[in-house]
Amino acid sequence: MSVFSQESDSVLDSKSNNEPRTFQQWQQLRRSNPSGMAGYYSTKSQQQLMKDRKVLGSAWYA
Amino acid sequence: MRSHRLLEQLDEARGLFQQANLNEQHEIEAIRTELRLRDLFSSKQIRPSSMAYESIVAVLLMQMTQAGEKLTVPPTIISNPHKYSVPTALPRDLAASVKAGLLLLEDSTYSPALRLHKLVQDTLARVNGTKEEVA
Repeated sequence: MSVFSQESDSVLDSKSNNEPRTFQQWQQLRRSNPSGMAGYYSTKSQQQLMKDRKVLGSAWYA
Repeated sequence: MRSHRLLEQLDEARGLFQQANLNEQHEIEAIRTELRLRDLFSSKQIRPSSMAYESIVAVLLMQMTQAGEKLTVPPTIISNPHKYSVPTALPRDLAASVKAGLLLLEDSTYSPALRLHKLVQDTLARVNGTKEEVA
């Protein structure tokens, strides 16, 4: 049994790591988890956010 | 001194950022992302202070398009921004804005280009749920 919680808003969560998040999903993360290593304002999250924006193009705002 | 107007414009943008409601926060985040996509804010390491700075610049550029304001930055400030309480990254990001075709530069004065106007309008339309194109 894993010692880690199966539910997470983290962008590092392996369950959702392969699927790009939309703008609205990223803003939900900003409100729920702004700081910390997996928080919205972390370097890693911001880098992933930019990747998602590039992958989804204007559909990012859908 | 004309640089006082620059400091006022930065203070206004900072105030609007700090008082932004939820929808305005979304608008600022979207504009900030679109500016990053166009090679502004090139620092690799992201810190809370740099995020606040990026948001203030996003508001500043939004203000320039919506109010038709220009930004005068004397060469002395471009060379030594820290001496004038201007963010040290601002000259670099203004230059990046000119390179991206978002601002026009003439005689130390930056004015909003049509491309910036369109970027802001289209992005806000997307964030607010209408269907205009984003570049």
